[in-house]
Amino acid sequence: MIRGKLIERREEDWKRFMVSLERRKKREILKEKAQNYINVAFLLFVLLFLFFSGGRKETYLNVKIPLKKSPTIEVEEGLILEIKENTFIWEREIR
Amino acid sequence: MCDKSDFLKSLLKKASRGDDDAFREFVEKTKDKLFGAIYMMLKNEGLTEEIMQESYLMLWKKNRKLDIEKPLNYLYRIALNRAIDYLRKEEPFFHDEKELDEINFVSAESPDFLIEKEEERMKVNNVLSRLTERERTVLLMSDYLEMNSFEIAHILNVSPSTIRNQLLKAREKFRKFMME
Repeated sequence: MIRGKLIERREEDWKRFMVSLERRKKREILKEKAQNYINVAFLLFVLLFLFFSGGRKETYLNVKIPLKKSPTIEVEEGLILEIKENTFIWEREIR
Repeated sequence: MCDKSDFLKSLLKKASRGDDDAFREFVEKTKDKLFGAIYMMLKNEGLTEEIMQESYLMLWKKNRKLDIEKPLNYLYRIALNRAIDYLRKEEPFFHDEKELDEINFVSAESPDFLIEKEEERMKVNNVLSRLTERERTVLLMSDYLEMNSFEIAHILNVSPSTIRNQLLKAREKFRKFMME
């Protein structure tokens, strides 16, 4: 067993080492915090995107066809409804 | 040994919870040995400091996610791996692998050497410098950092029996050079 210090370093060298290590540790903490903020912001962006894209879908589906083969089709103002010959409209798309 | 390990573990735990003083104390308690071993391998003060800082930060970060059972072993493993990686890039490290594998098992005890005076320290450093890179690494890991052959084998990616053989040769050479 080799016991004791293999290298004797000056106290100033160790002080410099410790200061640099502490600085790097603080930088790591800041980096982690920044990464967390970025993650939260991204999550919020995704949630907002889903929320708004979902809203527009509702507007698109806001077409009222009361009965099959009914001649009346109610469409919200400003929307265009295209009905082609032999197209089948699923019941679940009808309110 | 066990008490020291528990103490270091508790310090690191506190450090992971944001206690800066505990982190500082952990570094204070472990830095000299780690520096000695890595410096003797690389012979470059700046590089040794860089490897040590990276290793301490990695240990601290890892311990925040996972409770490390043996922090000292973990620290040595990170630092030694980095140092060995550096040496491998610098020059071929396993040049004497085959030769060392073929050495017969000769009994040789660990050199019990307590470094107290500057003169002794210089002599030990000189003797270590005269060993081959592999012998020096294995000897430092075993007889200075107190790692067992399985841990050393894991880091150096060879079998424990190869490590034991290399260690015997290194110890014999070390003792012989010390007598000169």
